[in-house]
Amino acid sequence: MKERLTCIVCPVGCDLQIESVDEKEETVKVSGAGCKRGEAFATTEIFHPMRMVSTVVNLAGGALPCFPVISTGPVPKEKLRDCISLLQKTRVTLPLHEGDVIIHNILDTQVDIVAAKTIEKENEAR
Amino acid sequence: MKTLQKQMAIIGGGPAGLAAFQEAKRLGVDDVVLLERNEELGGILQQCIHDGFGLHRFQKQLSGPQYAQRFIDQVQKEHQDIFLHTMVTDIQGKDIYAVNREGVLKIEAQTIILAMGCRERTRNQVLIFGERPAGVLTAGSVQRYMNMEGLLPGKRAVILGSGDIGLIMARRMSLEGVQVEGVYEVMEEPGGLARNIYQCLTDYDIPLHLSTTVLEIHGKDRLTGVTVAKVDKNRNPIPETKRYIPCDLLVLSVGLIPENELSKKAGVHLSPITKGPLLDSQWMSNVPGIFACGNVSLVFDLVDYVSETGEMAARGAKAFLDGKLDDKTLPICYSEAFSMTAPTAYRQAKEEEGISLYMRTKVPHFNGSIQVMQGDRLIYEKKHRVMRPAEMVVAKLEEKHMADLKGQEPISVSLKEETP
Repeated sequence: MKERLTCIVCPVGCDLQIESVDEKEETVKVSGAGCKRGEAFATTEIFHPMRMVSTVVNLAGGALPCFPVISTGPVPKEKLRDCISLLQKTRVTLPLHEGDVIIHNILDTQVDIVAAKTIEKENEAR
Repeated sequence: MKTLQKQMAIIGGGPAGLAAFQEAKRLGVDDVVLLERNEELGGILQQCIHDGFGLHRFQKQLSGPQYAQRFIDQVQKEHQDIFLHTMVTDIQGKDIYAVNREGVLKIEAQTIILAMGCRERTRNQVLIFGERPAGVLTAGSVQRYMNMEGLLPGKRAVILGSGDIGLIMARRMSLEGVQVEGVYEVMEEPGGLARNIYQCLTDYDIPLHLSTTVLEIHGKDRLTGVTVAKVDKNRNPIPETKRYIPCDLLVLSVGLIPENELSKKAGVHLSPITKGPLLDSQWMSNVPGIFACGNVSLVFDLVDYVSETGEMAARGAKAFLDGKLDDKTLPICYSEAFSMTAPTAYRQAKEEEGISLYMRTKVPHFNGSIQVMQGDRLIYEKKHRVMRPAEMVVAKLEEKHMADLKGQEPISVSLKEETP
């Protein structure tokens, strides 16, 4: 078990010290958190670490071959690499609007992968 | 040559320029033009596909393109005033010369807002010796290759510098199958945010070597390896710690410099510390009517601040057009505790709501307070739990603070340590 964590919720990056861990209740007590979110982060980080997915998929007919996508929420950390691999093989076409769902419920994580920007027409960057 | 007369011209369509444009429109300045070199708006945000943008402004962690899209959607209806693929080549007085597919364009502007952003420091600027092989790239170039052009720039990477872009690219390269051997930082402290060390290096078992630098580059056509060494307190390499690392990619993440080639042509005075224009609290330079905002003025850590300064510059420019700016300024002096600071003078505008002062501390401080004084009168005080060199500190002076500014005494900003 890690004794120290860096909170990644906001840019402050509080240095969290784990004071006690209740394995049964899945709760954690920390010190060093500047706000309430620190304790919630530590609990998740110790029992079910989660990370956002932000990557690019293959774009057909665009000015550039990549199109940025992002998850609507964090996915379990152990599924991050599989999500990226799946998205490496994903192909999209235009038009796309920010928020358009690219993959629904990716790898059964309950989060969607959505378009991170809007491109209306083919061969147009914007 | 096509010539246009405009009340306001904004150079650069990244986060600073977009915010300035949006704010100018909101204030009712219709006669404004935005000039952008690229085919699309958004600037560098378009290649920053990671999340973490906009926590202050939108209370959400957006990716770069998402953050940009929020502004682009807003300004889209004013597309007639946005010139894409238009590169400004010169500013003479307040005449802007630009080129695009239609030829040369001259814009006679009453006010100009400089929003060109910044550039990355290169190998030459950090004095690395050796061969000149392919495979030595800045972190931003690697980001462009991987996130926009779909190209992998190498198989085994060494990263020099622990700035945030380098850390973000360490994670990105790891996820895309590039082996990242390690991150080397000449300073004793990492340059990037703590959360990026954790989620970009620790998560991927990438070691961070502090007080260590790259001394030599090896390889004739393609990079074959680098020599690293630990450095002593004076940053001199320690010969017995020299170590050769085979790699085909060296990523430089060694800092950003405001891009002020155009500012210089316009006669704008630059600060030797921030490398950006010397600005007053309206974000106006020494040239009346020429303003600057975002990373061209000084390098910010968060895009939220970049947008904020864009809006302030637009408000300043509007006040200039309306004749509401005071002729005189008061100097704002920052104490030795700070490095990057702006603005450096206070210029009053009629009906202004407040001003913001931006600074970075030279070393970490815990539970210190930022104090703004005029003479021996305390105008503003705010305690900060943590202040780190990697993070900008902002002092927002509101109407109630501004009411205390009287007379011609200079304003001073200092850091008060916690008293036990």
